[in-house]
Amino acid sequence: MEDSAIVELYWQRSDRAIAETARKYGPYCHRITYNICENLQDAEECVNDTWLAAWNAMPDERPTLLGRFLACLARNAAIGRWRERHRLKRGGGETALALDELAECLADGKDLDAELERRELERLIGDFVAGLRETERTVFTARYFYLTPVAQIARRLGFSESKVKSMLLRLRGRLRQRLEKEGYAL
Amino acid sequence: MRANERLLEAMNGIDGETVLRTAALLEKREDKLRRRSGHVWRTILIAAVITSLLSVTAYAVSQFSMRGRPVRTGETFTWTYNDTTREWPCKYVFEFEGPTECPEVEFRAGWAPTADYWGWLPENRDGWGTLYEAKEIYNEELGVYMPACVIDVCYAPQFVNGGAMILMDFTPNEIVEEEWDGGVRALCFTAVAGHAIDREQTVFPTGSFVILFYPEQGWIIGVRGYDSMENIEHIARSLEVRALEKTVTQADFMGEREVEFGDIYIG
Repeated sequence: MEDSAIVELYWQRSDRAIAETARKYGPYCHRITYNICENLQDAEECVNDTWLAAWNAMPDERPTLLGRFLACLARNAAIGRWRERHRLKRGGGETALALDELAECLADGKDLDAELERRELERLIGDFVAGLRETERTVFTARYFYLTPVAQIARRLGFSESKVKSMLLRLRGRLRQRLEKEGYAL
Repeated sequence: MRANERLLEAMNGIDGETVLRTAALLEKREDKLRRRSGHVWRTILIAAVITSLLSVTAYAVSQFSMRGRPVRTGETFTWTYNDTTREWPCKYVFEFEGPTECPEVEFRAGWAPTADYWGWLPENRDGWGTLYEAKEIYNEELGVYMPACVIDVCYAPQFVNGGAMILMDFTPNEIVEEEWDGGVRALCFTAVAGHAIDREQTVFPTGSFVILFYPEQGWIIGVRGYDSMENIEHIARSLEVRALEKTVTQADFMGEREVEFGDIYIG
């Protein structure tokens, strides 16, 4: 089913909306949530949370790219779940690794809680990624949007792990510079 | 919430097209990978420095020289960026002598095998720039995508005073050196990758390389990829190069510029 038709089902409050979404985007969202949660049960629950969030968001939202819209909802759900699980302990896993990597870019202590700043940070990330070369965009997005392990990115893109790591290292360096320039200094 | 968690959340700001395209690419590649594993393309050349020997002292010579040689047993090369030092394995190395500065240049390719050959090339500059990347070519037999051609530029001052340009993960076959128009030295060779691209780990791909070096000005342009040697050489011969007013120095490559170079030279 076309995305626009699925969105229309949400707007009509049709029972089929979630079923059609799950049919088309279930595996995709599950991969996202599993990459972050690294736990099948949590990942599955986050996917269900994603459908619920989509149901609550539409209407009023009418996403033009449903896949991306659901991906963001799935990420939010999974990051929230991961945070709950790791509130009291610093666990390993891909999410923790990615967070450690991103800690190079932005220091704690900045007040980033305001909604305005969240949106501003999203805009900044969007602009930063838009300015990258195609390969860089793919690697950066695979790593920090999808939390795909470095080894997996390397394998799937046909690169060596060292290449992916060094590319990410430099991209983080450039992101840090961009953040500093915009006032998010380390 | 910690700042890095905020940053992770803010990745939702990546545009939808990139997000979906990346997902499709990862899935597509995963399907292909069911039939094989391994790497497709690894590092070709990397601006590497032997950190313990690194110093910035100008030579009192007017021209640059380049010498290629196999890496000696036990010889290692490290590269440092953002306080991180990595060791890079390699089989062949190019060493340079000369001043620690030279003019910056840009180039333009005048030929490509097909009209839509390039996947990345300079925009709105009449073709002039410092990076060209061809679209990948698909190897039906192995089910792998392979970079057809990458062209970029680096400078001898990056490598003088103990530095080196390394041919990473590839072992060159016979290197044919020619002098092309205007005194440009052209090193043409094929090189075998040190990594297999099939599941059985038996197929080691061969890349095509043309390294152009201009001793008068110190620029080095690498043209290489998995396209045929004939095409790679044809592209290399079609390049126009022009010096800009700006001078680049060795110090430039210790900071931001090195970032750019790393991306180009690692893959």
